[in-house]
Amino acid sequence: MKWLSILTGCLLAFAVSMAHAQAPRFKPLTENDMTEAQKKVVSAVAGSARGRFNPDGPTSLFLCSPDLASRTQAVGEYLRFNSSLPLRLNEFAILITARKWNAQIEWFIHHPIALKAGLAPAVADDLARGVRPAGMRDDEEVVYQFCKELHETKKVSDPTFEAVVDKFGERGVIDLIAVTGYYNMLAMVLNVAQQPLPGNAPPPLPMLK
Amino acid sequence: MNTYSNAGTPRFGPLSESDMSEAQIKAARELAAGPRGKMSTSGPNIVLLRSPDLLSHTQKVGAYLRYQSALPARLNEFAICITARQWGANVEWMAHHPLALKAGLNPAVAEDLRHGRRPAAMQDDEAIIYQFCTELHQTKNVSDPTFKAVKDKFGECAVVELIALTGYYTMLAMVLNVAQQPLAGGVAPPLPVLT
Repeated sequence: MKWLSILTGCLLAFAVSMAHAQAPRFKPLTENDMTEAQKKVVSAVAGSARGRFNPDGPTSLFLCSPDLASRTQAVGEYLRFNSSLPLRLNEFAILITARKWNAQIEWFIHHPIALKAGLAPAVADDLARGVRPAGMRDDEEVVYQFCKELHETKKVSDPTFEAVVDKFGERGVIDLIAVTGYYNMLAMVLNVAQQPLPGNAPPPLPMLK
Repeated sequence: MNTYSNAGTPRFGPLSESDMSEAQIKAARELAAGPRGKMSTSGPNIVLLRSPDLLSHTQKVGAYLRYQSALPARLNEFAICITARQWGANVEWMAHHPLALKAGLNPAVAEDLRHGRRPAAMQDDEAIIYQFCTELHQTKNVSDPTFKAVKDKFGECAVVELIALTGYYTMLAMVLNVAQQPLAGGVAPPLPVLT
């Protein structure tokens, strides 16, 4: 029976790798193909705090509807650059969302930003593996607990709510819901699009059950 | 199956204009000047107003999705009701159920959805939307046939708009559920808690 379990293991590994290798569902849009309205959104993004337009990211998918793209990207710009949450915690919340949704490209883009903002690499590694990170700072615990409860139970308990309000105020709670909600929406778009990772990079997130 | 959750005590107090900061007044007036015509005191936007610059950006996404989306209003409102049901967001359901019926959704379809059953009497285009949204919320992606059905019927860009719609109303459901935002007029919650 040993050969059977080895064979099963190989098939399983193959299935897991195939799960990552789904065909992209949207053709990339090059500047030559763009309408004036689309080009305008691209240059507005490049001229914003983002500094460039990322052709691998979700905004390129929204671009089929330039009006929607410019409105969603304004929300994203607020959440990335003007949120009341400290950058380290904001990026941590984005990574928690990416992990919940198995959104490889979202993790791929935000993992380096989170580390640069001071998130401990070991915390990010635990999160990627789907385990409650050991060694979180107090403020990271508060954010982790809030996002975890919200995604898993669709609400948060009184102590969890109060911990965020006490630490970050009412505006902080709203900015936190908005960042995880907005990146939840982006993860939906990226997953349905089966948007490929840049340069055929290996998927950073292991598949969880 | 037919139990209803106790919504809990509201976590954000009412916010009248006399309590608002300059930034909040500006964001609230800007919203009221748009297609909605007023700032609802019971919806998610009054909660989002705690972060006024954020609200001024999110409400423009909402205005687009509600008033300019490529999908017909009946399907747009149906997708919002599906999202509200997935999230048990009673306030969202209360606001959009009448809009869905007014746009032509069969009341029996809405009633099945409300109880968490696959609606029996859906039109073909409703079945396509239902399948897409249900798969997306439950499996975090959609199958090839489900993707193709939406794309063939409504075009590639409508797929993106549909995801944006259900994603945006997911975010609003998160806001409403965390805020434990009360139902207007103290009515009973319309959505049974599903087990």
